[in-house]
Amino acid sequence: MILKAEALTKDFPTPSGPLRILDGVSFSIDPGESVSITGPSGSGKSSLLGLLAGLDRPTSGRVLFKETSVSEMEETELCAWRRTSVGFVFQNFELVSSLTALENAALPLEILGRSAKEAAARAGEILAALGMGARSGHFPHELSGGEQQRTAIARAYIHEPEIIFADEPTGSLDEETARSVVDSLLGINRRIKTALVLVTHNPELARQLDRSLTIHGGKLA
Amino acid sequence: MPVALFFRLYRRNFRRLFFFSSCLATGVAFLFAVESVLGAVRRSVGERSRELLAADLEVSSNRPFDAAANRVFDRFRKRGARIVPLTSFSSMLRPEDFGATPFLVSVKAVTAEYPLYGSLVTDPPHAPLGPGDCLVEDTAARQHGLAVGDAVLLGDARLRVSGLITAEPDKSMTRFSFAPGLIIAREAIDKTGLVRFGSRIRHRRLIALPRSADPAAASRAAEREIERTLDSPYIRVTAYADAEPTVSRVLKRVTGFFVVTALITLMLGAVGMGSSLTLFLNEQLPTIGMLRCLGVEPRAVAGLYHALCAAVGLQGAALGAAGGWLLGAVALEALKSGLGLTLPVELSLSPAAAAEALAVSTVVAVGVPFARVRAIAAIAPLTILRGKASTLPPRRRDTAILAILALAALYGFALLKSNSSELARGFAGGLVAAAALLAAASAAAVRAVERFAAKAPGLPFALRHGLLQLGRERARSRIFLFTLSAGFGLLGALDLVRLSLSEEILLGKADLVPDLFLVDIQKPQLQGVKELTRSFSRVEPEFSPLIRARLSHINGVAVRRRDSGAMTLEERSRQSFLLREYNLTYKDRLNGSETIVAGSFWRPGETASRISLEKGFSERMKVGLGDRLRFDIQGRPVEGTVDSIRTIDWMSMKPNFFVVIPRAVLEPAPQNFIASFRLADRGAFSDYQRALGRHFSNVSVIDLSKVLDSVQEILGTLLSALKGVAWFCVAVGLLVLAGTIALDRRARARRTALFKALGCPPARVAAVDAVSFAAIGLLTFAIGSLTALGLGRLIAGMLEIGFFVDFAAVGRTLAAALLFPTAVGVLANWRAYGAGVSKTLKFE
Repeated sequence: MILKAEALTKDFPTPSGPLRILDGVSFSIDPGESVSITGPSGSGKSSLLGLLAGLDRPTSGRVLFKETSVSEMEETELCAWRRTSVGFVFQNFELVSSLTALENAALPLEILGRSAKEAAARAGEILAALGMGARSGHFPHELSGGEQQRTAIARAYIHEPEIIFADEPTGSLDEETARSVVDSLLGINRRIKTALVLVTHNPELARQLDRSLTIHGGKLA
Repeated sequence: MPVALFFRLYRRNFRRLFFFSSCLATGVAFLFAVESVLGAVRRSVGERSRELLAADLEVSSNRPFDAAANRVFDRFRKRGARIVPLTSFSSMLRPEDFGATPFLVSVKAVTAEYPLYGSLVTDPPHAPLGPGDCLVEDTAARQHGLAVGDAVLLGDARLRVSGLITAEPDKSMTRFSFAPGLIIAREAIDKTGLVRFGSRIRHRRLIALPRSADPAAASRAAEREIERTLDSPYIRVTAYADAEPTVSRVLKRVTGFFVVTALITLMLGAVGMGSSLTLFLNEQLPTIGMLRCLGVEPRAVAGLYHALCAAVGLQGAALGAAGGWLLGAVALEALKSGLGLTLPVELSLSPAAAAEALAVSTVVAVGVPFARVRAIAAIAPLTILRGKASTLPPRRRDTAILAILALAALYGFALLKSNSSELARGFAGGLVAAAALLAAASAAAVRAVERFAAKAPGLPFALRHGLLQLGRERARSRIFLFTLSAGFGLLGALDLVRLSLSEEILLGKADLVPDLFLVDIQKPQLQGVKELTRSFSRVEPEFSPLIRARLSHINGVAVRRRDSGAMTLEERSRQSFLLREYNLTYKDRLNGSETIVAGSFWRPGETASRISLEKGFSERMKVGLGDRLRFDIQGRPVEGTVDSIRTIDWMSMKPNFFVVIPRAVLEPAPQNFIASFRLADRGAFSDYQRALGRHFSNVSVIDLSKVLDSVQEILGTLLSALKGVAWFCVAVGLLVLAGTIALDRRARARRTALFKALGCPPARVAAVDAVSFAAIGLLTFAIGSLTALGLGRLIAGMLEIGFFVDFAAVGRTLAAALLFPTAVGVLANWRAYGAGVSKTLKFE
């Protein structure tokens, strides 16, 4: 087991009182496993991903990463955990607009303390492998949606994390581009045995992963 | 639909739009508050200046006033003016005690209505002044051992000293005679037998005009009317506003400084609001893209955002008018309690002022972002939705048209406020040139930073990414850099001008300015008087020889009285000026108050006949470098060539002369000496006078300390108002700049969340931001300091102030420029460093 959710609940305050988004969600993920989380809009998929990745804290319950409670980590420990063990792919890419594709992809290595030169060399290799070699010097606003997402994938795995979280990575893409992005993610998952947790609406995409979890009304179905 | 959309956008962005309005409102409020303050200061200074003349207007002549003059006085009387006659002349006063030394006095014969303004203070208070009485200046009475009740002889009249003069109103730094004062009743003139044909008499009329809203303008108008009607070279008319040149000169400069400060504050508000609106418009690009996709025409989109800008302007006008009224009330109260302004303060918000606030605010709010709104409204929707619009510049034609309109508006407004086309031209031209240079410098600096950071992969993480952030987010960085450099440059310039003006007002060392004069020192007494005075003086006393002379030839042509019938007023005035008696001096070194503005001054030991003239004197005489002048000194001719022109700072109170000749040429001529100095201990004045009276009884002491104190007090009022105005401008500027920096908060919060999601600790994100802002600070420091020096020199030149660079002040302002962006930027983003990543990415 690499990641375990134990009775996770998440409430959001609203003017009419707390709104429960997640209600006692529990499951675990093994190393190298790929898991999809599906469900209708507003079912709590992205909120669950945020809790699993330590981007948010649960109202109750906890997330364990190899027996360590992510939910109880201090901010500095969380940052250290994310920069060494975790990769992210967001639906709307979230690239730094002032950095080129190469610099965006190299960012996690630089944050880890590697030299900018070394990080750029490695980012160049990965982008080339993803078919982005010719576009690596371009800024995000000069790239298409698919190119931006492939850059985000390169950024997510450049530091070879143990788990990648992807929040609807194909949500903004056409079918063909979406397929190529998923192929890239699954390729990484299989090649370097990185666990993959992927939130999607797409049942076809979910079927390509090892296991599928469906969430409905804040609970696992 | 657009109207409904307008209100929806307005409601949704109310807080931000309110901030933009506040930036503008601060400038507008300040503009109107300054007008109230300036009005009050002018009234207060005017009130004091009237005391320096004891009237609104003085008409004086060396000849008795003729029928035409008396008709003019009658005309003024009919309009409600009060007029009192005054007669002045010099004579010897002899204490009746046998053996007492007679001494020279400046006699003033007055009526009971004297003075029209200010008060004559005597010891005992309200001493009587009948036909057999006289009032003696206290310093002279002490020196010559006179007391109340003593008898003195003035010409043929025997008078009783009924009181000592401790303060009299119509004395100023440029209107005193080299003899102590004696006041007698007008009825006593005939008894003295001194006023007869050939006597040197000055006939004067003091005039108090009826109350008016602008007494200074009324006195000047009356001055022009009398001059035009009488058209005589022998008559001199002085309005109180011009009676003390130092005060009027400083008041003029302070007024100019106030106007410039108010305009600069408005500029700061406009720059802050303009930058903020530009950032806001960039943030609105997705909405604009969406509207365009939904089929809204560019014109309608432009109209919608122009209307939002106009709403900002209207809000700014309302806030500014109310703020200006409030600020004016607070400032005037501070002036009243802090500086002792005694005038009733009428504070009201006139419809004209409100309309002006509305116009200024709306024009600025719509005008500044006009080109940007038009540009983004016309961009293809896809360009906006792909996020490429924020980097596109406004259209050149729009920018050019806007620049021309801005220049015209700036000039027109500066002209309206200052009433000086020179100041308006300099201000508008200087600001536009400075803005263009600043924009170019900001763009070049941002580009240079980007190149440096991209080509230096070896830099530490925070440094590299901080600089990349600055260099790559060009549009945003340029706005910051331009706004901050303009802001700190303007504030720095203002501070430098304020300090230069303060330096000029306070003469640097006010406590060292001489306030006592000695006159009529004979050559054999010189050494003794020097020794005695040195032991009492705070500074080395300055002694100057005084030689009386008449001008006999200019370039070989004899100066003689010609028939003035066919002469213009100016020609008659010049003739009268040329024929008067002059005081010359000799020296081989300039004193600290003199500056050569043309030609060169001779070296010590010069034996050739050379002449140095004061600038105003040479202009009035219409002589310049190379002209030859011949003076008649008690029958002996002394001829020389004018080879230098000097300006003199008369406020220095040093003995200064229109005409200076080398020592070797003039030393043998008959002469006496005058001196100026300042007592080390004011309490020792009586001791000094007694000692002087004992050994050198003919030497008179003229005490100008009261006049000097009075002038310094007025100038001090101006200086305090000046400081308050300048510091308020600094405070407003910093607030507006802080607001502009804080506006970037959303984008930074999002980037912070992303970096944190990638595992970057908040402290490192803060370090990246700090580097980015520190680099902006450093660039602001460099560009701002050049702007401050350039604009400071320009503004000082416009206000005719000697530009003085106080490096400590420059350092202070620029240290703030260096630290301010970092501190505000990091503080504004502080919450984001600790905020949840998910929440920030979802909601910001």
